[in-house]
Amino acid sequence: MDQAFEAAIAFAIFVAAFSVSQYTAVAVYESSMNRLSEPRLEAAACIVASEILLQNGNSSEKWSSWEPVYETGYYFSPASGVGVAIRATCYSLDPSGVVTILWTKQGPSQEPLGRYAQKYVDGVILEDGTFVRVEAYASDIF
Amino acid sequence: MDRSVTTIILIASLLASGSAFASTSAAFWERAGTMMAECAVRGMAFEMAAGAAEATSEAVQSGTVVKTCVIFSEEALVEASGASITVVAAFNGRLLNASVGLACGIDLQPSRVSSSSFTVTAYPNGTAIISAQEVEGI
Amino acid sequence: MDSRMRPAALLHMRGWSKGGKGVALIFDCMVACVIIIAGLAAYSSVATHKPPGPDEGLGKYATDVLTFLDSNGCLARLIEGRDSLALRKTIGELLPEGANYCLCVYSPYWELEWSFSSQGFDWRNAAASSPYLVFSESKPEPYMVTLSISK
Repeated sequence: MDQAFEAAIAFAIFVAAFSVSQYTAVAVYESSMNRLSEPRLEAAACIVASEILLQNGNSSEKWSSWEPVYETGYYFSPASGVGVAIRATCYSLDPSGVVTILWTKQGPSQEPLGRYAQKYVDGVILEDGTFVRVEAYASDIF
Repeated sequence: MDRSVTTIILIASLLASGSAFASTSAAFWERAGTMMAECAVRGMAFEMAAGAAEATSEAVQSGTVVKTCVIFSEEALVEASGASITVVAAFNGRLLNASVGLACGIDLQPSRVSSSSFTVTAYPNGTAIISAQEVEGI
Repeated sequence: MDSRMRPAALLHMRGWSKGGKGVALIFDCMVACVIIIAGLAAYSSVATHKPPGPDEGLGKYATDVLTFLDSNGCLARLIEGRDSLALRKTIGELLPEGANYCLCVYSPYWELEWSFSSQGFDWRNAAASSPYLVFSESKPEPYMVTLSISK
């Protein structure tokens, strides 16, 4: 075989093997980072939802005057780099079993922060018999 | 150009590019390792704060004392004062810490606890106590 | 090209082995490295893989949903009527988007009387509510109801 051709094949094999090893290493690193991020973001969403429930309790007055805060980092201080979205929905139930949505409040971000966002759901029955579902989403902001 | 000079230039350029790649790669992986460790410690701090916030919210809603357990895969030192929780963990001989503050005023006592499993006891008045869990008879 | 490549190749061969196996040895090493890295990657993904376990928060939320449905005796009526369509609509409205559920109704002796689940419900990553006692006017014994939610 021509030696130049042989050298070209050898170089191609080297480049392919090198690329595969680098790609695998970076993919392993990325998946490890994602695995570490998921519980952290879920915990962040849990903190936000819990604090909202803690602040408003089961008072229907507090819930009707409450608005999702439009400042990132309000609910927990070291939240730089963590984006938060909140959605609260209030339901009423009539004796026949029909559920009606009374109101929905959403913020600070209107979108639930993309596919990497982690969600936490909690609910509370208010003193007037209505039910509020709180969904908190947390995601890294790059 | 003389063939030997070409060969020397070729080998020198190979060595230079190889060493440049090695140093860049080493710097990248060192930074990546630090980031992973920091992310892990930050995650522990968030999990601890989430446990405290969730238990307190449930205790206030239900009007009863709520206990919850937070378990880490390794031992960590947890400091808490006022509404701020700091988790300190060691990675490769380096001490890393991450802090989480809670918007509502949750009191946490004692101020420093070292263990891998912690009990959060929340009371209906909105306070929570973090303590190291003692495991016996294993 | 030919004359330029030859000295470099010869240099490698002289340094490492005789008989022109030096380059082959380099590639053997590289292939071994690739296999080791792939093996380590597979091991790390298996060793640190955490299956999507049940979310405890969802179990608490399921209990809240049952409490709300029982608040005006509605749950007992829906269970007695075996009206799965109405229950499906009511529970589906209260659950977050993308959540699937399974409602199980038991006798006080834990005998399954009735159950239904939504499409896509998976027990492996489901969180269940605490057993909830539902009293009805027409029956002296209560029902035990559990609601499980999977993400």
